[in-house]
Amino acid sequence: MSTDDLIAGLTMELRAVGPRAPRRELALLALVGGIELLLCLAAGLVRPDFYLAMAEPVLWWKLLSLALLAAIGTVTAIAALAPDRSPRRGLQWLGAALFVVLATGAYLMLSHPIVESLADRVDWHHGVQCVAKMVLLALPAVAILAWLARCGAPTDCAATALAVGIGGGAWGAFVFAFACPSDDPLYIMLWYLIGCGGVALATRLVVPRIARW
Amino acid sequence: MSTTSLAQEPTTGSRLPADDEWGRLMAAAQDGDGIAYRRLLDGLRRWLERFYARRLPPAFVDDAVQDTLIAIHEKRHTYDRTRPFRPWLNAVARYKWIDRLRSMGRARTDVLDDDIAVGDHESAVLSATLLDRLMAELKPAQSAVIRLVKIDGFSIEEAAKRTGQSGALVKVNIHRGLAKLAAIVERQAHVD
Repeated sequence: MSTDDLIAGLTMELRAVGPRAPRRELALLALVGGIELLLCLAAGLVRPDFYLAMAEPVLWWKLLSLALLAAIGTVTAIAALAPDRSPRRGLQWLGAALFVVLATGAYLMLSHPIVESLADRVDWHHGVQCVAKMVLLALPAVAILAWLARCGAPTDCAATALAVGIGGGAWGAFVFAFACPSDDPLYIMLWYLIGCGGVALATRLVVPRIARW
Repeated sequence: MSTTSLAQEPTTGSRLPADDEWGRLMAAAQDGDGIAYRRLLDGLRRWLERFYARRLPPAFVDDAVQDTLIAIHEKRHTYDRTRPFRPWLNAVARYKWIDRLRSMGRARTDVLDDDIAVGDHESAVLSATLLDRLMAELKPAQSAVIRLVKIDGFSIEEAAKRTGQSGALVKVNIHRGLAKLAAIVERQAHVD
């Protein structure tokens, strides 16, 4: 087909399209995330001692850290869906935020020494269950972000996929944090990192295939 | 501004009036204005031909232009009409350039018949200055076989004879060289 014919064809099939609205996309994610959180809370998936745990800094560190990572990851992913926007700066912010989160966790861990053995603290049996639940709770956000990536035009698919995974994974972990009874920063840093990292790795592998255009 | 002046838009220059005009035409196209869209695509076609002529072997330019026009059509909703059009266009064209470099590595190479006349082929190749500069960043063994097979149209066997590499090595060097070119372009895009 000649380029003239192609242009004629594209012109003939032209129809009006609404420009992308990143704010609307963010609102959609917030709505779905909010519904997911409300459903989990309504289903009684909150830890029984939640009100007592609110007095502990670890709970707030956990919730605020995950909310921060979810927010930066999601905003980075949404912004990267325009061809002329790169997610690299957002990923740098994510890296910096993760460093602060881990440093704060390490401080909390050292300031409240726990006498249990390392094996008891890591508690891999519960840890694996936590990871599975986090991944499950991350699926709605990841699915929506992946769909938005397919509709958008990311030019750095690999970095965008990573932002999708970190944003979605952190959101899943945030919702799960309301149910997670652990207040040990070591346990939280280890298993939440594995959960979020696993989601990010999976999206890094899958989303570029979906988002390629 | 007339359509003709849009068509004369070169790849250089930081703030050209065509930016706004193309942005306005794209905004009109988003609203379904076919006449504006036709004008826009005609202008973009010439711009893209110049863009890819400097970055790809001549045989790949037409396909790259058509691919990019289709991409622009399919992704036109991602253009934010409150922002300049040029960075959006550049990003799409560069993305498709990287895509084309990668697909060149995967594509079967058709050997040209000796009887086929190729008009001004050499000058077209030489005008691909940006491509030449990029090729300089590859290992000599990689750039030599890419030049022979992908630009000059030699077969894998002929390139192997000329360079002293085995046929398998020629294929590997083409694949790795083009992948490296794509990576270099991608890296530069993130730096810009």
